[in-house]
Amino acid sequence: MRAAATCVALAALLLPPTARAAPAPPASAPASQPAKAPAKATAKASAKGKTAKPKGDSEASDPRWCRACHTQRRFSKKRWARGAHAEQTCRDCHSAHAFNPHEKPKASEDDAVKAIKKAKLFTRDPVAAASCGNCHDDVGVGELVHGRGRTKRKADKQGAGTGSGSGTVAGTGTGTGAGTGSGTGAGTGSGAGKADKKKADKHKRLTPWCSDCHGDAHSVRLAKSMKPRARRLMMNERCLACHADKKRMSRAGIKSPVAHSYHDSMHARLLALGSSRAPGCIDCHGSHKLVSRDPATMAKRCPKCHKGATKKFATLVSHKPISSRPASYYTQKFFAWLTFLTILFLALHVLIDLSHALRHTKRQG
Amino acid sequence: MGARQTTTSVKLPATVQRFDIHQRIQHGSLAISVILLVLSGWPLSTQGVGASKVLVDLFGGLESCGSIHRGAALLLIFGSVYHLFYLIGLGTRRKLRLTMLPTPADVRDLVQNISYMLGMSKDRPRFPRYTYFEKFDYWAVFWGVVIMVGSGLVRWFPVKATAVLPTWAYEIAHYAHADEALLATLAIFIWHFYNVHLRPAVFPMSKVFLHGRLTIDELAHEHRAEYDELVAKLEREQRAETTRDEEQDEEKNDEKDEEKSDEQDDEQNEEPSDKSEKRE
Repeated sequence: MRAAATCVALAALLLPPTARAAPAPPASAPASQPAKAPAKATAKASAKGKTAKPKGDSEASDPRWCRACHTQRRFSKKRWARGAHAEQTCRDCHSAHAFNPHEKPKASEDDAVKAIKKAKLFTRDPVAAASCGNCHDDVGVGELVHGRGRTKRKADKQGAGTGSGSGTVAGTGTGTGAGTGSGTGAGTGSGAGKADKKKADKHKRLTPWCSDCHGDAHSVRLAKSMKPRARRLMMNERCLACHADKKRMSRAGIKSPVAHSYHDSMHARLLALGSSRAPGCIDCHGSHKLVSRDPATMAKRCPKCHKGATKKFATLVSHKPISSRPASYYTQKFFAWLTFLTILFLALHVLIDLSHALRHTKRQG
Repeated sequence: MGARQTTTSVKLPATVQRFDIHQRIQHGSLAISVILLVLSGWPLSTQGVGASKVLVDLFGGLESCGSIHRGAALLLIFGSVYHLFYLIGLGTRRKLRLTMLPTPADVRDLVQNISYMLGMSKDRPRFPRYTYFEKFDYWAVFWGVVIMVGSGLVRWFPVKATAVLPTWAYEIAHYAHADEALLATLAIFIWHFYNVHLRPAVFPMSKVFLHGRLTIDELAHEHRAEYDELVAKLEREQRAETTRDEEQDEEKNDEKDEEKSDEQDDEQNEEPSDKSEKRE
């Protein structure tokens, strides 16, 4: 899988940038020509790619060249080559940069880029940060909780036409793509009033950007390429980076301490102990089609693991703090006191018995 | 140990049967299953600790760890059902002795024993067949098994359980299982293991659970009331043999006297131990 991805990447390097815009043909063309062993065919193609030297503008985006100057540590060629973006090269995302290092990057008129600049997210290259949607335009984050953000949702409630308003932002109509929806600056601009705009500015850093969940675009990996457990642990960590952050959650108006109740659950325990089946956050909550706290949608996911699970069963999983669940709360309180008092009595009894027995045997001896 | 043994004209057996083979099997299945259950269940309740992962690996991974836990649970259920049927069997044959039931005398024994161990009282309580701490052990296990098996089954079959039970019942089962497990484990390691392993008198371990026998010295020391009862019974039998020619009226008077002296021990059982055997 990785080898194939690398092959495709190297094959892509050989082609002029115009051809690279459509990455499908270079991968399929050499594969279809030789016999019926596509894997071998791509391997051959990569062998050719390795021997042949890159020429002219086709090498313009090869990280090897860019890295002559851009030596950021976060970029690892190895991880890039085996990652999901192995087919992409530097300028696919950093598109404002010319190959000529003496040329200044083009100023972007894009709404999303402006929003990112205004929010002071990704100051290094806002164009690259806004470029996810160029390819990933079908994700639909903009319509959902993370895309809209808390403020936008409030604005929607005031009558700004939820679906259509955010839909256009999320779509490619503005040319910004899915990621744009999460830029609250751009999102609120579409239909909310001035007061909301102020609020939006206040909360502009609350909603996550693509890379907050997916990680660094340079090394992002395909979900399929990871083992389920490793992927779940990784994604959990990223969800909890915000959802376990009390300050951030209180600013977003989310009271539920999900981290604690999740870690206390059987799901998290099994996952921590090495289960390859136990679910992480996104297994129940979904990813881009984030359902958050909608019990009806959540209930549909239980039967995937628990055959015959009903809606009632789904309510067993709760992120509510234990203090607001009386049955659990009083059970724990009862056993805490029972255990404390019983063991206190037993331990004292043992100590008294032991001290007597030791004194007794001493006297005899 | 035998210093307090009263001089008596009857020949006492060297050992007495305390636990029969059924009781020893029940104890064995309980011991094995509880140890396995604790070890295989522990990691889940303390998943954050490094040792948990080691334990899971020791059992061959999470899947087999779970299977062992459920297998051991079945063994525990078997032992408990065996015990209940054993009790019912004894009851139908009119051999069931209610020596395990707590009595007010146990409270008196507890107070007296503690003051004795602290040096405030000279006399050790005259313990019956089952001392108050043995009764505590038994009823703690009884309560523990009911809770653990009940909540464990709910957690084993969550979908079926929630179809029948309200959700709060599942919540209770969820927390009760882990919390009662902690209590039971602590009780076993602090209390039971001290009483039957670490106590200087029995160290390194009391072997009663293997052969089911107590020596007559041990009986006299640990269960004075039962010992007195045994002596009284043997004396009665001996006298009955020697005075077989005498009239039955006199015998009855004798028995009444014996019983009066027995009442002082607060031993609630009217029948002396059936299981005690003569061994010389």
